[in-house]
Amino acid sequence: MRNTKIKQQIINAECAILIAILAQFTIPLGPVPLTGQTFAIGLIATLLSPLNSTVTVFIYLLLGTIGLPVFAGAHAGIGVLFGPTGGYLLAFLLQAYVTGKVISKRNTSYPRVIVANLLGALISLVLGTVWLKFQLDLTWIKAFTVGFTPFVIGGIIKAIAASILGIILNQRLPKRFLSQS
Amino acid sequence: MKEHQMLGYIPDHTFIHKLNATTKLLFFILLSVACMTTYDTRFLFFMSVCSLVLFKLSHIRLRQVSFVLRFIAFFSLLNLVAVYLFSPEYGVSLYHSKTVIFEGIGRYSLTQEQLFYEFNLVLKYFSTIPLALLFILTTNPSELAASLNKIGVSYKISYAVALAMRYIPDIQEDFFNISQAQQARGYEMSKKASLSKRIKGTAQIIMPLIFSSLDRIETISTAMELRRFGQKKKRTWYASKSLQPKDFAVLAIGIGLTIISFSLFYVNGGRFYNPFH
Repeated sequence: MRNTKIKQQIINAECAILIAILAQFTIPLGPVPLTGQTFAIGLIATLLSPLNSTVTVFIYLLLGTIGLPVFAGAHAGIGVLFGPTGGYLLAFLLQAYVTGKVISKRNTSYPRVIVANLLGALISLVLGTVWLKFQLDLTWIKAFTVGFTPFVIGGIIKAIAASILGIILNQRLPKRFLSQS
Repeated sequence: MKEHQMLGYIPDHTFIHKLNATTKLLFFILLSVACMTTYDTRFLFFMSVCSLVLFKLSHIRLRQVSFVLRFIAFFSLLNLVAVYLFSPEYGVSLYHSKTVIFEGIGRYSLTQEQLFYEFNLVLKYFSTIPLALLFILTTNPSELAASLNKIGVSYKISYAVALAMRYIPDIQEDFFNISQAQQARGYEMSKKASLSKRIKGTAQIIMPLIFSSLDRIETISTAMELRRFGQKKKRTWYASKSLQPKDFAVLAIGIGLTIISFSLFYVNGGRFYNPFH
């Protein structure tokens, strides 16, 4: 009998690398660039089960914590994780889990997947902004002006893009890849 | 290491390479915490010098990490500019004084206090980035997995991290090759292209990248299965080293520097060293 747990572990590791590589991908869009980080997490949450997508994000965060420059802007280290933007990074765990949980594997319709990804992106932005507020001792209005509002349009674009690509990949990937996910 | 690649292990025989991976990991985490918590300029300056000296001792050439360094430098600079744009008077509120160097528009005046605060941020980058690079470039991924396991991370997660580290260069190489191939086919991904074209171009890279990863997953999982991976609760490590006296000495230095960093809270009456009073 083939050990699907081993394969799943490798899938998680490879997907963590995918997040790391896409995190360095930036498309300038006005003052705030679109980075591939949240897009990659949305995509992986669409493809894998809630647990496995969360483990994948955990591996990604661990890679960054031990010094690999995998966070957006090639940053790394525990300082980034507990710095002003650390809330967004830690919220990725919840984003991955919630997105995966909302998507039922039996019903990967476009509306459901898009809603799941939008919800995940919203969770990430809100938690990141709350963390930012307390880290930099900002007012709520200032925190949302700096940490939420500029990223909304980009977040929506990325959530929709991750949903569409995720569904296409779900249809094209071999069932043996997704069955154990 | 190829120009466009992220980082990977560079074998050598320096003192830093010979240190135990657990020691290096704990030392890096301790100093990251120390540099993260304090804004004492003297301490950060000392740490920056130490980091750069250690980097020099590791025999890593700048050209081996030039791509990543340029990338980090660009985003760090962007971060410094963003700090000023969002809070141009943050330094003033921190140091309770205002010494204007250049009178700007509205609240966008350049003050010594703001410059000093941003100088501290630069020192933070200089004290932690070389250490992070050092750890990654001088640590064998298998040894790293063993060290993560030693500090309490489950061996399956540790192994997944080691796998990820080992295959980052491969996947980046695939990414680069696919990107070149798709551009040769006419997919526009340069800054000149429209947003929709660039998103479409990115999708044309991601799809083949995932499919090429599938083959790798098959190969690795078969190899691991044949080696009976995951059959027991614990495992031994091929690349594990025991701690030597030099490792304990390095750990003691790391703990000492962290204690100094925390003791500066009492000396300065907070996180910040204030030369303006």
